[in-house]
Amino acid sequence: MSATRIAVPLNHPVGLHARPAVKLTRLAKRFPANIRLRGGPDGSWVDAKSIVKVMGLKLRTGTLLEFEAEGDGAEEALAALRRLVESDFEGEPSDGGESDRG
Amino acid sequence: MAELRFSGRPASPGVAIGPFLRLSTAPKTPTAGRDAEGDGAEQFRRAVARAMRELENLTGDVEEEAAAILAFQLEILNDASALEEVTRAIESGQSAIAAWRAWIERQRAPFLADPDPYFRARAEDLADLGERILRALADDRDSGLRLAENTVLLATDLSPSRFLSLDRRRLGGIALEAGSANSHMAMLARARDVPLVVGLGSVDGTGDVAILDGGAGLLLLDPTPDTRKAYERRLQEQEAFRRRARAVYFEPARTAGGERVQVMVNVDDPDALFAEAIRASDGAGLVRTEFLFVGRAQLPDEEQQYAAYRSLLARFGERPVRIRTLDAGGDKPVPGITLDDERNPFLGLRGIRLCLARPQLFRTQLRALLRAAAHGRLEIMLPMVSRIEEVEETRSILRECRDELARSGIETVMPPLGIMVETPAAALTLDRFRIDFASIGSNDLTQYVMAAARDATGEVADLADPGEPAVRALLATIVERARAAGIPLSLCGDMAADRSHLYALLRMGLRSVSVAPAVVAAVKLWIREYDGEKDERPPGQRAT
Repeated sequence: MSATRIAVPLNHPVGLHARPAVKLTRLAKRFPANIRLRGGPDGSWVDAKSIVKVMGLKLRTGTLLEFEAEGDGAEEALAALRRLVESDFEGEPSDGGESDRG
Repeated sequence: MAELRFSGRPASPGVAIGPFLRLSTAPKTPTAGRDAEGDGAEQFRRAVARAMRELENLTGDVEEEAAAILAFQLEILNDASALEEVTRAIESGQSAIAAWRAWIERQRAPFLADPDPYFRARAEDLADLGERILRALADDRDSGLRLAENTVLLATDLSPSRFLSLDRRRLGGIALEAGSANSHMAMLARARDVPLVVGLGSVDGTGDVAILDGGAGLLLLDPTPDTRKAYERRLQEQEAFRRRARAVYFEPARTAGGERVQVMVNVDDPDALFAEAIRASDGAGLVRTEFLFVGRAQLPDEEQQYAAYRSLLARFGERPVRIRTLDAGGDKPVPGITLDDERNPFLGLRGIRLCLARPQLFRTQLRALLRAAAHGRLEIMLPMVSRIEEVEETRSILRECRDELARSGIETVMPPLGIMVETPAAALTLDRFRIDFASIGSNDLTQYVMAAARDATGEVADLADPGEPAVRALLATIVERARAAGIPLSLCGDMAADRSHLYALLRMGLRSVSVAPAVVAAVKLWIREYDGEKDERPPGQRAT
């Protein structure tokens, strides 16, 4: 089965620092598919389920993230990852604190 | 026994009195044969499992910022594929300890010197995790340390997760021989009102009872009865004050007469600003952008600045964020930007003068601000203004930048433009400026009015006092002129963090201040207790 690929720009203001990176790997791990990530066409591919590898890419704001998935749930995984990045990583629970504008 | 005094740097204010305990932060060295004895890979697996349980237990009732630190460490321990490298190294003959140490150092290396503070902070997280696993490998069980009431803890250094593992109801204060006031751990201590002193150097002494004075940066062992009595009185006052201040922390500030006063926060380093402090404030009254320029390998480009400003706006939501353009020079040299050989830097090329003299640098910052302004309530504040022309020149550069960006199809918003009132020149001509707001910088204004350096010592130190009649007279003039010209006025200097000065400002008619996050609660409480003309108390009480 061939791999599917998407590209999404990273607009999170401080880049992929710890909190968004944890959200990304936790989401990727929900899917059985193999998922890879790289930062731009010259970046090297890493396992999107590995926080160590993902952090190691030091992805900064403005980078074009490319995801590639293969196997069970590949399409769903890519759609979910796209939603996460496009929502500036706000899509998950556990980040309610800063929405309080009291 | 004689009283012992050790002096370090203040990192979180407040007083603690209680039993003294020295904590060994270095993990116990495992007995020589131990590592070779058992199955190293199995020991490592057990250490990881134990560290995960510990981190999960810590995650219960902690601040959002603390939870994020713990979640990142847990996720690393969940990263089976990465940890396999450690297991393979152990299987090829290394001890579990050596293999883990080497792996952590390899992961930390790329983050240690990163110009971006968000990435640099990862090195601290990795060191924290490294230490936790080493403790688990050494079977060092003191992470579940039992503290006596109000314990004053001494350690070489303390990691954030180790700090979070201490029983906060029993912890009195923390004294560190090394440590830094800018670490995650110090941030957490300030957020939890735990007195902290760092940089004590080697503390060679011990005692049964310790006093920690976080504001003065002092550790006292076996204090004399007199010292102890004096500190016990301070402790009682501090606790009563903190209880009352806490009760009004998230309430809008109003005087006893019901008048609303705006209380904003000064932001030095967004990374050290907690969500709670933002929620308690009416906005950011002063964002010092020097954090983007100081201690970095290269100057931040437009994208990096835009990202930093946008992130800050997102955190403040509907609240205004007043960003001051680069205020280098004077006591804040920035390599590659400021002049090194000025005879009198405080009267030289600093603030807006420096920005206008370095157009490339200034335009980069203004473009980033114009772009960020499309995403929140951003305001631009110019430092060290002395003439109207400086504002007008900035305005025309802003317009050029906006047109440039528009031609490239980039969205911008022209934000409100205002000035710091720090020079007598700006103060005396304030009503002639075409500006949307003004904010008094009381530290510089005082030194320029009194001709006494703000950091003066000895005979001159006395003169650098915002309570001097000349400074008060000029402040009253500023308030008057701002009112006459319809310019919204605030004050963002240290002056507002002193009760008698604050009351003097309120009496003049000022209704907006911006202070350090740590004193927002105290300032709100004082405002609540302010009863107009009736209030003439002796000067001198400061927020702790």
